Amino acid sequence: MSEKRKSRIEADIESLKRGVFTGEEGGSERTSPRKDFIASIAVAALGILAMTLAAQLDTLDSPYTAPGLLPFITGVSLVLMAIGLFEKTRRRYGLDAMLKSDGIQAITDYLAATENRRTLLLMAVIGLYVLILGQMDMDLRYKTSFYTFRFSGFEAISIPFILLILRYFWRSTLFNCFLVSTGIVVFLAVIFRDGFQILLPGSG
Amino acid sequence: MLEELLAQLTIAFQPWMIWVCLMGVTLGIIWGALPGLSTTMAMALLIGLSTGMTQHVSVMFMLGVYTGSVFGGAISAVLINIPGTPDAVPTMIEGNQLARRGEGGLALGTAIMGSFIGNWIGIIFLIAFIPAILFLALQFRSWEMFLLSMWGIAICGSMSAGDMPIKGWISGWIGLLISFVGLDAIHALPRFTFGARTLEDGISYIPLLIGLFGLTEILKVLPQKSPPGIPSEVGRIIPPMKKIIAHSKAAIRSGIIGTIIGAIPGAGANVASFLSYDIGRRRASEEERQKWGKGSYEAIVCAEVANNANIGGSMLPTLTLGIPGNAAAAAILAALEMKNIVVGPTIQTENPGIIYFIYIGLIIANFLMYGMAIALIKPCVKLFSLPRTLLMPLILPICIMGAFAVGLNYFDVYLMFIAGIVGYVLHRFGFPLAPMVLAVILGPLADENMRRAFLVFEDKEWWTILIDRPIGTVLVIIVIYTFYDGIFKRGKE
Repeated sequence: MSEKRKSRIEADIESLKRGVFTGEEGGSERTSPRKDFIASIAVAALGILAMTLAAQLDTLDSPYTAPGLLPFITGVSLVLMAIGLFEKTRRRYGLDAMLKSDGIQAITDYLAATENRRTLLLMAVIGLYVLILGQMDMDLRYKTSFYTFRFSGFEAISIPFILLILRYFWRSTLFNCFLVSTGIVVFLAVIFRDGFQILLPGSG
Repeated sequence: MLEELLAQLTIAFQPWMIWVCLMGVTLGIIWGALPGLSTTMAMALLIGLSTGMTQHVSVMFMLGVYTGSVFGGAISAVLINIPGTPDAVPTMIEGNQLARRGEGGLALGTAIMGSFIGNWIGIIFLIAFIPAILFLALQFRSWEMFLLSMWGIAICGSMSAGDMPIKGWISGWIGLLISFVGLDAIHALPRFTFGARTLEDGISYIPLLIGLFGLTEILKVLPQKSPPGIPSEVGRIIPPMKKIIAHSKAAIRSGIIGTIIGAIPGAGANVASFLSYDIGRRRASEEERQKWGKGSYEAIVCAEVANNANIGGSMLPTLTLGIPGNAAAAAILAALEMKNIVVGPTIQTENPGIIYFIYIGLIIANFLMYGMAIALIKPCVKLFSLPRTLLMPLILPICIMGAFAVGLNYFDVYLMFIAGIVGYVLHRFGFPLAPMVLAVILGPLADENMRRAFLVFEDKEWWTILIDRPIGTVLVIIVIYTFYDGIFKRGKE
């Protein structure tokens, strides 16, 4: 079942009209009972993992200064909070709504929404961009009498990836996307590297 | 004291400093004005740019960005009915109505004046209360510092998660777990490092901040289909003096609200502007109240004064206790710490004069904000015609460069990417992100101080820790009340 989502602005305006201050993230997406159920399970698992790892740490000279003391307490509190979240959602929506599972249909529905597909694609492209840039080690220099032109791994990788993202999301012509991606990447590289003497990733 | 003040004045009024502040203010206004780009995002990403600057230059730059970006949101709110930052929503409701009647320029002028007054109120409160809070903070020992850190995370969770404070707390507690990664401060024993040497240095919170507030925002906004806004005509900008005087009472009240809200950890500029807007409506005259929602200048004053006064308010706990007033202040704290400025009770002894420099920096930034806001309105209108699908991809290289620049370590870029994905998932599940950042900052402070405090009380009965120190006892009550309020009051709304 795809959920109706409210934009940040819509949620803010609504909360303003109600005179309720929903806080910094109050306008963020409203969640479903099923999501809260999944969250409570995940948080409880995280809490148990933290407790286990903290308990494995050496106590050393005194239990009061044990490195695992606060991590263990944090793990215990996370489990309690997970129970609290579960209970609160159960009281609000009932157990049936929480446990209602569409199985594979939920994933199909998620993927059916264009926005979600675009988000996943964007994540993958950015992930690839970060990964490839991390492998780069290149810094070409061309000295002239007035300036040393440089072309590093940062520009070599950033330009095609920004071009790709612009082409898919902005949907302008390939030439426009190329001009914008090259212009902005070179501009940022010059500002950071020459203006502020900051080393760029991928430049060795 | 006078000598220190004069020395800082001399540094702050150097032409280069003014230029850097102007650059920060300009970038802040433009960033804040662009829909979808928040103040925190501006702060988080521009930290990277400040890494190459000297201590004073970096502080001046970041103060300029902070001051400029908080105001910037009002420009797009009034002219194209899209708030540049979340705290500009009340300004959007009122200002856009006025813009449609051809009074957009005056609405913006009122917002600029409101922001200018709000900044002043925040600065005055900051200067007035810092000595008292510093004196109080110096009485704090390990137990009090631990409680204060935990209260900071808890109240941030409560304030930022609306009617589900438990989600805010969970976000904060996950942040605590992240902060434990690395060598522990007392025994230098690796915790949660899984044998990876890279993790022994701990997790730097600047890449985390950039990932959570930069990359997450890109993942949220870019895939949405949104038409570009249509710029309106601007018209006259400077409001007449009598109009300003007519709203002076509302301005002072909103300034006080904004400053107090700013001083509470986790309560950002949007809570300040929403609260002030609502109180302003209740307190307005019958005639004025009729205009609310249909284009009220007083409403704009209430919202803009409050969100700008929030800046001074948020600096109070940041500078005196090392506890950021909001996510944007956490970025200021990160920038200060990156330049070896130790914030907290000993700020004046360890960094003589820096507090005066921050006061002066805020005042300079405020004057520059006033001038630049008027100058940048028309160029900003041109920028609004650019679609977000064009703007957002351009922020991506800044995220990467910013994360890398902090420690010149590519691991931080991976960290930023993971933080961005985690931030997006948490957002989809309705968890706020600000408590997590605050907890990553405060976690080491809480951990070290708790263990030290327990050592001090080792030979006594366990319950004496609760009553032996009066400030500690008050803090215990406050912490318990925060959880009680979240579970039994706010949680039931």
